[in-house]
Amino acid sequence: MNWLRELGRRIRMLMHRRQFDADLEAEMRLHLEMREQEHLESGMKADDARAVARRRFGNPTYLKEESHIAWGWKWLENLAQDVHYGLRMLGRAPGFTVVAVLTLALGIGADTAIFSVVDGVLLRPLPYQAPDRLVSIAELAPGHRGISVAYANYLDWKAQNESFENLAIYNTEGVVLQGTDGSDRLDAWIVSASFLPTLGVPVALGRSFSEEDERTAARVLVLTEGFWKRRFGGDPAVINRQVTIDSQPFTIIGVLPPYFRAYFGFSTPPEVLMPLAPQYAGHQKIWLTRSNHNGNLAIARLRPGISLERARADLNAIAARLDKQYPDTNAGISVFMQPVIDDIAGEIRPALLILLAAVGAVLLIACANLANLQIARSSSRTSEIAIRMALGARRSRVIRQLLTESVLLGVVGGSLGALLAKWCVSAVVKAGPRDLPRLDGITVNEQVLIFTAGLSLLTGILFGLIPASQASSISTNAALKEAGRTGGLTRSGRRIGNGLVVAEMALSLLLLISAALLIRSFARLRSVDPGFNPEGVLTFRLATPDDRYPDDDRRVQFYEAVLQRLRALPGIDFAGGITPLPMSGSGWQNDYRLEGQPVPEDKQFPSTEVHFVAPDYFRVMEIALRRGRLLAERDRKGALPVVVINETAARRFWPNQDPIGKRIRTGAPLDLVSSDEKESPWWVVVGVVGDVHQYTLERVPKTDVYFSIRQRVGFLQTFTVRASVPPLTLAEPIRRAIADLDAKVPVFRFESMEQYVSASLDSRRLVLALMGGFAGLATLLAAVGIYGVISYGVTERTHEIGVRMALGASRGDILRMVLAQSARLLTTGVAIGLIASVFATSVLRNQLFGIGPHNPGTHAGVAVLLILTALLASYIPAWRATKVAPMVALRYE
Amino acid sequence: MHRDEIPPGTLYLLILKTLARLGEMHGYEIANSIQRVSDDVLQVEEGSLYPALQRMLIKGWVTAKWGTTAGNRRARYYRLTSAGRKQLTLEMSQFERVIGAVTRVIEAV
Repeated sequence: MNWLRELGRRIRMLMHRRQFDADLEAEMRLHLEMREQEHLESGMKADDARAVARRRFGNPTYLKEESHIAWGWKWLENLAQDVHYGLRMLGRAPGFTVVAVLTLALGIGADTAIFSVVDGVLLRPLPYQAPDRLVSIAELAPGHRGISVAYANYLDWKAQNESFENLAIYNTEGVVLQGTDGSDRLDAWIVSASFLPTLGVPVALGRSFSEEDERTAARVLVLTEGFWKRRFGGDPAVINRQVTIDSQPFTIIGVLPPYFRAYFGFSTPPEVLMPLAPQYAGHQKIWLTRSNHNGNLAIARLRPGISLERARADLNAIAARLDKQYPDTNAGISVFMQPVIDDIAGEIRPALLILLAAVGAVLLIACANLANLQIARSSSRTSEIAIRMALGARRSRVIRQLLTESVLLGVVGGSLGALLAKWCVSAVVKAGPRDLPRLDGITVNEQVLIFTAGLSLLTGILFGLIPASQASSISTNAALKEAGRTGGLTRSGRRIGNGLVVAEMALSLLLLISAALLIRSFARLRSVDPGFNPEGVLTFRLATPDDRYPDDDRRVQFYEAVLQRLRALPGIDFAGGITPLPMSGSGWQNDYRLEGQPVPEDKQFPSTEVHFVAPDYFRVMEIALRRGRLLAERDRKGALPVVVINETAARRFWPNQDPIGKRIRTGAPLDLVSSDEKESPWWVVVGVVGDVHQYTLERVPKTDVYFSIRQRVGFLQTFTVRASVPPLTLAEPIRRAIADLDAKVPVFRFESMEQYVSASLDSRRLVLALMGGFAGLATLLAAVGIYGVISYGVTERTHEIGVRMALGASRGDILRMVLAQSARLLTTGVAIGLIASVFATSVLRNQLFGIGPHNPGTHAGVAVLLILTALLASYIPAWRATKVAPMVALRYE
Repeated sequence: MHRDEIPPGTLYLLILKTLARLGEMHGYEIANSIQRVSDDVLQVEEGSLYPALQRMLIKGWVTAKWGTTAGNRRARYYRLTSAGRKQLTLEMSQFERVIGAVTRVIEAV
């Protein structure tokens, strides 16, 4: 604690420094006077007495300064002086100051903006208790990227694991909230009672789900704050109120805190949380079927000190036991587990880190530019610095003075940059790219500002240090002798300047190549044929309350009535529907077995994508028919079970054979080997359609099997209509037409198919725009940099050029001479950049599409572009050099 | 008259010791006392007492307050704190150890 008290004393003295100075002064004067008095009394003459006293005392000014140093004030005083002086110098060079501040504002602003995104998406802890102990869990089946969790398996994990403090399972469902004033369609998450305790999120109002609720399958409801405000006006009396959901009475028991967000799991965040128990109670047999991975996901909280690897091994050991116990359903099933933050941000992380690196490179280029400007400027300040050093300023003191100047620039530029970043970030958040998670958490907050402040200081030091040490390394003597002449750059100053330009070129080339590769990828992606024509297609969804449409037959009847109404609407050519919609982010898979294929020994069947359509779907989407026929009205219950498959399926299932008339079974392994044709029929292939990109444009189409909803599943997720008018104008007529049929059916999510396709490119578009912007900025800065260096070189060589011209050099010779100097720098920079790109652009590999990270054409094209730009920038000073009048140049001295 | 520079680092020790012996003193008195006691052999550059006193104030070894001298002039009086007394013992023992070592080296045959 001693140092604390000491600091206290220092600060106290600092606050009373005037008093302190006066005291010291008085004390010293007293001393001198008393000594002088003593000498006088011993008989010295007055003058001598004073002189001797002074000699014995030493230099009072120096001693006072010593005391200041002792108190730790010296640096503060120097700083104030340096800042004052620095501001004056910057004010005297307004052109330089403005250029420097703007350059820094752009550089630091871009860095800040990207960092706030990185901070909001990757770094900020998730709003759950101890989020680093949360893991998300799915199951892994051979040949899959991860499948949902079978409820029965979850129950075994929960009972047998030794790794988790808590384990929860959840699912998502669209439900209908029926009120007196119409019906609302809600996104609900169906959760186990352990869900909120696992996250460590308490309710803000009322209570959470209890084990008791789970045991009794109580119909209770927890609202999110947003939904509570929207639907109930934030009324606290909502607790214990009864509402009707899907015709069942539910009691509202709690409201979640405003900070609750479900960033993980499903892409649609919940508006309400509902317990899983009532559903389970109603359909125990289906829920406990181990082959039924019906979309459940699991989340768990690791016990303190248990690593992810240990927990994974623990669950996999359980999975291995289940594999032995239930080979029919659990063969080969293992567990997929990752930190919940990877679940949320894992996909976007590489892109963000690449952007962060790119924006860092831009700032480095900006620094190099400013360093160059400073070097050029300091050469004209040589005599000023020489005089200061001759007057006794130490070298470190001069460096500090110069550094203060550049740090001042950094701070001013940084402050402007922070404002710029704030503006950029709110623009990005407003644009709301679909694939950027935790969008609401992206702000320029204190943490980001601390980063910016640090970056500003660092930047100031970075671009100031080289010029400052350069400038202060002059020989005082030589510099003073030359005073009066325009100071030229020292040789090492010029070498550093050239080196900086070469580095700028190399860095810009890297950024340009990266941007070019991304642009070409994007262009290739845009030109990918999705397999359907999104133009003019409108999609929407509706939810059928279970009480009035309890089974497939009644639902399908209603769908058909709706489709009929739709077809009658003006502006609609075809109406159909599909489960699930391409590019909507969801997909359904089934295992399959082809007729005549033996049952694999390990019961590991391959799997295929499955779709359920209302017949006109293919016409709406303009999906090409390749062979046979499309699904039709006559394919209904009781008729021959038929399917349509895509070309990839035709090729994979029956290579080099006609698929028409071939038969296939789909479903769980048990269905595939069942002997009961009624339970699990053989489906006859009647047609082959073109491949469709079901997920994204970049993912290669897989095998698709299309069923009619009249024959299987009986549920339509999305309606699709082909419009001959702008699609979104049809939303109101459609809503009215359906209300005519049944006013209690909510109709929602009207989106054009083009919106879905475009949204699938959203994050790519964002990354591309940013990378392109950074590359452009980098090139501009590099061009300015080379312009500066060449321009300064020409000014410096005015005399030489004059002599050359007087000796008969033509303007062409001069132009060539200057451009050759610039070309040397350029080619060196570009060569280094090209070599570096071999290593650097590999990190882009996963961001690219249809093009490798090493594409000679792109690399060469970009290099040529950069060289041309830079030559253009150096042509201006070169051209100016040819205008030098020999007489003027010679008189320049 | 030949006067020796005081060995570096011993200035604190001299001031501490002087204050310990004579109680409250101002700077001029401290300087005179060191000189007198050492029979004029040890001579501090008198002014350097002041930065040293400042450092000792920061360390909390001494406190200072303003008073009046016999000649009725305002002067700053320094006084040892308990921390200062502790520091004195510490510096004394260090000094003796060093001097002892030096002596042994010199007297070794």
